[in-house]
Amino acid sequence: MKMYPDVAIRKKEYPLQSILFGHRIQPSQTKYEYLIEFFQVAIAKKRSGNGPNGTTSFVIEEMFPIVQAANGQFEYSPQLRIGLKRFIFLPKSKLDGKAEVDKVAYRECVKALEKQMVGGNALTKENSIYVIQNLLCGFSAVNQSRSWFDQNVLPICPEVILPEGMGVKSKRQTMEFDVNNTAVDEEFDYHKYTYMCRGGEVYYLHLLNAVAEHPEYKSLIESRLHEMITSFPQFSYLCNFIQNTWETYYTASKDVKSEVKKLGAIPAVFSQRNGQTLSELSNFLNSKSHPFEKMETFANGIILQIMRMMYVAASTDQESNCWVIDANCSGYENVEAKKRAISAFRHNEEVISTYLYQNLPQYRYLLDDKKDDQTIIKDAANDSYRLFRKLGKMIGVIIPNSGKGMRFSLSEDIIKFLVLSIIPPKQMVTLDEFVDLLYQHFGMVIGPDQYQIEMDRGSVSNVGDLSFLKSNLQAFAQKLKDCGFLRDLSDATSIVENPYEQEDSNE
Amino acid sequence: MNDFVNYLNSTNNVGGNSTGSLAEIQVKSCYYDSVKVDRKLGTYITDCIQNGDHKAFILTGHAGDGKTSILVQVLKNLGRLQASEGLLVQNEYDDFLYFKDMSEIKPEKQAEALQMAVTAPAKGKTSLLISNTGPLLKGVEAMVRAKKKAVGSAFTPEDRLKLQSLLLRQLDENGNSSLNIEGFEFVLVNIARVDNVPFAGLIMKKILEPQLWAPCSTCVCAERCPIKNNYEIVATQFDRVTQFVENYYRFLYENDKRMTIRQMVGQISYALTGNLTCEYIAGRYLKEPFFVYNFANLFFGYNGLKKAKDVAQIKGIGQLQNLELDRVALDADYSLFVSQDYSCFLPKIQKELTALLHRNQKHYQITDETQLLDEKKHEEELRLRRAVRRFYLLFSLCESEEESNHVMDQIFGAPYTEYKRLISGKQPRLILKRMQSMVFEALYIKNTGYLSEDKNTLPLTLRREDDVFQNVMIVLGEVNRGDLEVIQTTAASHFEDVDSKFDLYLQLGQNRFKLSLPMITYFNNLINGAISSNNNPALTHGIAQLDALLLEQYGDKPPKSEEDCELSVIINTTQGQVIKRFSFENNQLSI
Repeated sequence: MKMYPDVAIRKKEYPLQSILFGHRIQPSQTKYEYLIEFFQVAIAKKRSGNGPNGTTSFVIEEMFPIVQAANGQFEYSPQLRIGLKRFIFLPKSKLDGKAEVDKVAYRECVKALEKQMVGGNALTKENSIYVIQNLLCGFSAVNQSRSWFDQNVLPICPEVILPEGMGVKSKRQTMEFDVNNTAVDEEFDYHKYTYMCRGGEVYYLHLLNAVAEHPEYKSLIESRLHEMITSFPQFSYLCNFIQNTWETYYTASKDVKSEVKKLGAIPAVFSQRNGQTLSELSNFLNSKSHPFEKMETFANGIILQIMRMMYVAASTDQESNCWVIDANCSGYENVEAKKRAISAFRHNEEVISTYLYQNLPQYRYLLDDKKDDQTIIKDAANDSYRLFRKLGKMIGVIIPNSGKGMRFSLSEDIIKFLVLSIIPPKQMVTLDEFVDLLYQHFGMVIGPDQYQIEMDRGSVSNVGDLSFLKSNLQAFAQKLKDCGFLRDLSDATSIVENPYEQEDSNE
Repeated sequence: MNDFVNYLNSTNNVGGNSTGSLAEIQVKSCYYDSVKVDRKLGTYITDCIQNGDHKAFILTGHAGDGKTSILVQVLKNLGRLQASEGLLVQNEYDDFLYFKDMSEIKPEKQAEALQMAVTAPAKGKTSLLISNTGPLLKGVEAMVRAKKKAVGSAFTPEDRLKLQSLLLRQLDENGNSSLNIEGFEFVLVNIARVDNVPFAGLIMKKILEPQLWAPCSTCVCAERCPIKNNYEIVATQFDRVTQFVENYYRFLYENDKRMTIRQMVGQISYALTGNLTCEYIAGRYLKEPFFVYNFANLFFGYNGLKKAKDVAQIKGIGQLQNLELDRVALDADYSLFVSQDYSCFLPKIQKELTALLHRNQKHYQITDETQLLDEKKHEEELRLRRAVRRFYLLFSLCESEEESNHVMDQIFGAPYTEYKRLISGKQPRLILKRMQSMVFEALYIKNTGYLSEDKNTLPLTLRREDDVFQNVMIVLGEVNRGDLEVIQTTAASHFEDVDSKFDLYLQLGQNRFKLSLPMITYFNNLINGAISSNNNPALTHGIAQLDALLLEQYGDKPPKSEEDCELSVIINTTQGQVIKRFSFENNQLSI
């Protein structure tokens, strides 16, 4: 399998699923963590790996350094700012992860901050700390009970886009706080990948590869992504105030070592979607919406694009791995469409499963010899199509959430991403054209025309009467209408509009 | 026997005979001239021809919106179409050229037809081409592609998307001015975008013309004919009935569920006749005809207490049954159902309702608990109430306009009549101010979670898009109450049939945000304590747009440096809202 970056895979380096679908996606990563992890790589300082005599040929902060490393081979060092993370999350986190040393560090940090506050009495200072903490904590990305160091803030400003650093219990419980003890902020493991499982890295690599192939998109995508996370400089100032105050007080901070991370690899077949991913992304990023609305839709879009490229990777000439969509609009129930979508979904999973089996012999020599074939396939299935189910449900393209009859459908949030990414801002297309574009971009089969093509190709079952798909298309139209993207124009013609204005030009 | 009844029955698609709903056949009907309504566009085109101000018109719209009728109107105005004469697929006069329907022209000839139509003005002719939207888009595309090819320039997919977008935008906005695409100039009119609600009243008036009903007065069945009865009760309370019918169509229109003229005619005709024929009535004994086939019941698709079969395919009835307007509780419920006081109706209707009450009256008291909880019994009672409400909605006597408006507000949402008033006539500032206050209060609740008394500035808070609760929010700007101005703008065009039609906007500096009926109803619900808008994503999306507009217009400019930054946050505490401000200075935070 050709990979991107094009490096030789060492024995036991990757499991089968990583070779076939990229290194790596895992069930514990939530959608915002894909987004945060992607941004973490994108904004990090990048440098070439060590040369023969330990030299580095470039150090750069560009998001997509295609001039220096179009081959994707470089290291990156994310900002750590563990003091800031501790300040935001420690009081409201799981008890289990709170080591004594962190509790002390937190109290010291609060004291240092209070000292740096001007005006007001002790009570108002204490209140202000509480207010700031609540403000930032309100943007927490994951509302699960987790240790403080596993939590993340939505990418409201670059300063809060931080890697996951695992506080190892055995080490931290015996540690004592001292301003000169570098271990207080240094002793975290940044290579555990428990929640930030590298899904964001997979997306980053895909984008990097795409931008390298289509460099005309580079400046637009970079600047729009940058705008997305820098719309509110207030947060940057606030976070810098907290982190700087902490670093001034905690004198060992200057000796805390930075972290160097290396990207994994993705299969080169993902590049089939390069052009589409970029055109979708540029339309989407050019649509002027509220930064938060954009962030949320983007998080969904990333998952959708990742899922699609993985399905495409497993496709063959006969098996396009298209997604038969049940529009599933209340008031327009369509039993036949549901039935077809369910069987098509089952078939999709068979295609992926076949893909795993077919490739096992070829890569057996790279995999762990201690594991038998069955275990390898089982693991691969868990981390591929079983995981796709979870991802799909997370963004609402696979329904129902639990129970029988799994199939592809489209949630309101995903519809928003699709409209914004396929139609340029303030432009409109007819419904038929839109459905056709969805088919071209994401292999979504909604109406009879698309089904017919797939039927001829042989990747969906043969059906004599396609009228159920006409009703399915109507149901989809109603759903678009409910979302405010479709208007009936006149006889049998409806228009789908991207209602958002064009973002102001970069200048 | 009244042949007009057969004509009415042919205008809807329930039952075997729906020939009257085809424009071509309609034209030939002897009743056509009696029921047709002239359109402004028809007059405008006639004027163009007669004044030698030749233009190319391309007309599109929903089936049943009256496209063919406009052609007929033009031809009749010019004296070129006699009564019961049909139309040709295409016809050419010295000063006028028409194509009745693009889809009746062979596909390979369509581009040619389009070319002929758009080049007609250059040859001293006005042209009118009626087309479905699909073939029209393809036709224009082919025309432009050919022209570009002729001059040796490329027609890229981006060009295609732009062209399509341009045509679709014109069809969507229905602007007055003509389009000029690659030197081809034409006026593109989408009749589906013309407000046709006021036609409901006109149509009813035409249908109820006394001479059309003259044969009924001498009919042997006159005393027991439900159709004649419907004619009489509706004619007697014409204004009241029309008011409900028009308001209902207005409500659909404002909720993007517009009815075509053919659909209106279909529903109104069905409500008068119930698709009964004179022969049927003459040959059969009908039980309780004046109740079962009453206009009020038929308009909602009911035969008495039961839903009539297959009538939901009449669009107006289908929608009405979905909306279940007769389920909405009314202020009058107590007097209607508890006091059984029917004095709000004319005696004829009172009689029907009292008879209904007697037929369904229980002469015993239910003491058995299982019977009390019996769902079937409840449903019966409910059906009865719904029937009485249907009569109330259509026929209750209202002493003043205010009173009847109040009835409409109860079923279409509290701000309905206020909204209607604002879109149908210039209103004094006071009324605009009232709407402005409502918008302000709703936005205040939406942005902060509370409504504090005497607040005059609206904080623009930064909130997450999902439903995670934040008790501290950053404030990105403030808007004064007075800056949120509600304005009315005229929507006059050559093609609008109503003169005083207004659109309602929230003026935000240079930007405008359209206030639709669903949006205003949502604002009103917010003030009354509704929390979430998630049940209607169209609203969520509209509100996100409003947020973005407000922020763009009134948001503070992002600070350029730390020294420049004042961070204000709004804190929801148990004692109310507190605003706190922070500023940064030399690594210190001033609080």
